Amino acid sequence: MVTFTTTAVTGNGLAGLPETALLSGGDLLVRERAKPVVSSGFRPLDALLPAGGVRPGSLVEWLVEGDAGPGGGGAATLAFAVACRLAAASSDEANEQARPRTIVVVDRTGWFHPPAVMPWLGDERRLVVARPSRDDDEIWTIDQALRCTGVAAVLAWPRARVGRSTASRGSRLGGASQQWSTAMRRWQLAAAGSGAVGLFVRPLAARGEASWAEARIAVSPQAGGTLTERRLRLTLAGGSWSAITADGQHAVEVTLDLARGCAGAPWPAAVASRRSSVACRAS
Amino acid sequence: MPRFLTIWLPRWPVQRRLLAKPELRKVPVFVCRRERRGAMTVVSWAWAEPPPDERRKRMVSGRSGRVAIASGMSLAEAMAVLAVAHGSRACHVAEVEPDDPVADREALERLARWCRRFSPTVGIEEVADGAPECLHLDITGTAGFFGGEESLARTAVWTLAARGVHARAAIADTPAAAWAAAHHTDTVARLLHQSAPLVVRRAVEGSSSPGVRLASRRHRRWAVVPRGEAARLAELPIAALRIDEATAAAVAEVGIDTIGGVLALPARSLASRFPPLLCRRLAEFRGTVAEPVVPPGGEALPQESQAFDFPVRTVDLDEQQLLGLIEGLLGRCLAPLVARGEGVLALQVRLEHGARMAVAPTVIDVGLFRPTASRQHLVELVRLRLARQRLPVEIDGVAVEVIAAGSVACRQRLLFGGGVGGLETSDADAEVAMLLDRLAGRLGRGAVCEPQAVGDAQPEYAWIAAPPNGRPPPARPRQPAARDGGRAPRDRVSRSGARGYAVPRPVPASRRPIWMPPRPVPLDGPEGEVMAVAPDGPPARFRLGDVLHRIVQAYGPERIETAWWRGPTVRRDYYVVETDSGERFWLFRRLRDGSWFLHGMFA
Repeated sequence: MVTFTTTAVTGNGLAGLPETALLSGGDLLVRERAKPVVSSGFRPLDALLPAGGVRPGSLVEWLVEGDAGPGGGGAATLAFAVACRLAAASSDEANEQARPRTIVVVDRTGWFHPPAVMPWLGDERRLVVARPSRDDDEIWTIDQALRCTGVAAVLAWPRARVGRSTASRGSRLGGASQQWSTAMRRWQLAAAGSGAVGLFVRPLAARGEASWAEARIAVSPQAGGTLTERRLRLTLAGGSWSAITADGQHAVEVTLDLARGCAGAPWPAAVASRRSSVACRAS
Repeated sequence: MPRFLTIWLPRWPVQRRLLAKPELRKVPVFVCRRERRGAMTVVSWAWAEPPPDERRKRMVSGRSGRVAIASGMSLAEAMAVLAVAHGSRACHVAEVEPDDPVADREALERLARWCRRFSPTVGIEEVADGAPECLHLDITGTAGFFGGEESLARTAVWTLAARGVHARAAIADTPAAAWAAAHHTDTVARLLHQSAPLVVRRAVEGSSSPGVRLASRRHRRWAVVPRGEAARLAELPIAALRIDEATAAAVAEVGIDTIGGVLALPARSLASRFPPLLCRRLAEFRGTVAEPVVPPGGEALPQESQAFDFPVRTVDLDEQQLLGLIEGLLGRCLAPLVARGEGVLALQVRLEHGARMAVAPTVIDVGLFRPTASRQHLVELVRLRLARQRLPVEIDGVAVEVIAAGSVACRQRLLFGGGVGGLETSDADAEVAMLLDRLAGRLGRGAVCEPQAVGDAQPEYAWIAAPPNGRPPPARPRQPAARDGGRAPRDRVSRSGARGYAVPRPVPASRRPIWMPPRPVPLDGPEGEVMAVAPDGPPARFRLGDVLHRIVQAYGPERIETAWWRGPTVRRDYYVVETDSGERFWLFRRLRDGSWFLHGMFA
């Protein structure tokens, strides 16, 4: 049962309300935009993000095709590269004695394979993997990790189930939409309090749901590239700040260096067009 | 009549190291003591997950099926025996750990305190030389709380197994008899089974139910000797009396090799013909000489309890009230620890309700990854566990006991702050440690880990989920020293191999997918299909479920040929394939039969 509490706004009755609740939309926007922004490590992505980078204490959704998890599109890899950048940035800004903060991966599916990204980490102790087994445990784990001030970023693919049929998953998404929105609001408040960043990989079909993420970015892989570099096309697909992009840019292309987990060199168009035939490259 | 439970922890020095480093389960581990002239003597050894090559092992050790490496053997001799049993490469992957009896004893004392859930009186066996491996519990009057002695022994074995400790247990009238039965549970189970009524024997032997067969097999790990029937252990070997080798040899000279043979001799002749140790052990076995169970010494860890005047129904008890009571007890436990600069590393909260209902107390174990003296943090962890615990109907009292403690790192704070966003680095570490404790408290310790890379070429074993205990990351796999000035041994084809043997080159991150199923998904059945242009060439397209992927780029093959020590050799050709939609997958062809599998997605 939900209990509503009414408070009479008399005299200093406003003192109990959060400060942000007292600001108008414009004031809040100005104040939020004045907060420091951390570069994602990818200039095109920074240009796409509404704040010109990743704001500490915010959520970012990465939307991918398919409904059974991240698939092979590269969104989770890109999100982890951004998480590494956030963890490294937290140490750059501090004194030299400071150590990088922690990245928490909430892996409900149990498919996360750390050797793919561990070379990107200078110190292995920065990566913590949590494997909840139930829905409520997953929500709670993300919430707890986002509340922790020692955590730089939380990477998760909530409700990404392996082996579920499209129909059952679609009905499940629709039925639990309210629960998802409530959980995400909790996560947003938790992240805002600690400064951690939540990075969530979700199916593109969830684009129609309400979201508390600052930015929702659709990730679609591009053919071409090399073994060590990957091209991804990013499209701004919504988010709380989606209508205020700096220059109106809504789609960019980034190159991800898979060996180092950072931005690769921009891919020349001529080279990309040459790579259309099947080729086998000896390793 | 008193009753005693003996818990035997076989090869405890090795078990302690396996608990601290789970990755060592895959390799032979030798705990060795350095002698005067530099020679290494094997104290204990084990290979927790050996290759399934029983035939070769039996060739070496005869009927037992075990590699015949005994304590006291030199390391070189033990390595030779191991090489004959499992091949010379097993010696290269073996880990040699220095003996540390003090640490072994301390770990055993911690386990003894943990075992107070079964009995208030827990002691460690007294040994003249060597490391103790047994715990004695005085269970007089407490077995009824666990549903009987059989149930208590079973609970003790399987509760320890859940913590990763291999144990055998036995219950008898005296600690000596329980010790003998615990070391020969197989024989005791057979003896007791033979003496059971014929109807019961036929029911067990003739049953086709797997449950019955399983129960009879599991019975080997514990045994219960009925009251006053220690004579049933007469067929056990004379070594089960805890006598030294010289005494056993003296007894064997007169043709006696069982306990029953010694019991049949007159007491006067025993005293005159054999060392006095034998008489004392026999007296302890019979119970004519008491063998007290002495709790481990050292500085006792704090323990507080509060009993209610009358049982309190849990439905009438608010959670905050219960937590407030636990917090008060916890504060009293923390006070002496804080004075010593220590914090809680493991905590046990017991909700006593056994006085009238004859059931065991509800035990809540809280483990931490680093010591803490924060009362609020500990109460929060207890609250998380309480939320998932089925509470008893009534509670007679609450007890809080510190199971393990450790030094708390103290550091002077900076005057003007510093660190990340006003948060000092050590504070950030402490926050992460508290987060890990909370996650482990609710999800379980096995659900929270820090990945650590290991030098294994097989992708499934390329990392381990290490418990985040706050220690520095382990050293990288060591490069084997070249023997006799020659080259270091290498694996056959690839630069892969076992840990510590043929160290593989670091695999670039671009070659490993971020998503990998626990088992490779076969693509030759209804779940998928692969088509390749050339028989040994890269795939041209593949079907995964209902989706057909056309491959426009394939990188490879990357051949992996390894893991001979785990069973059949793994021989695979891996390809990183890119489809026309830009997605990337990781496929491999099994060289043994040419079948294809999906082993990862570059998500």
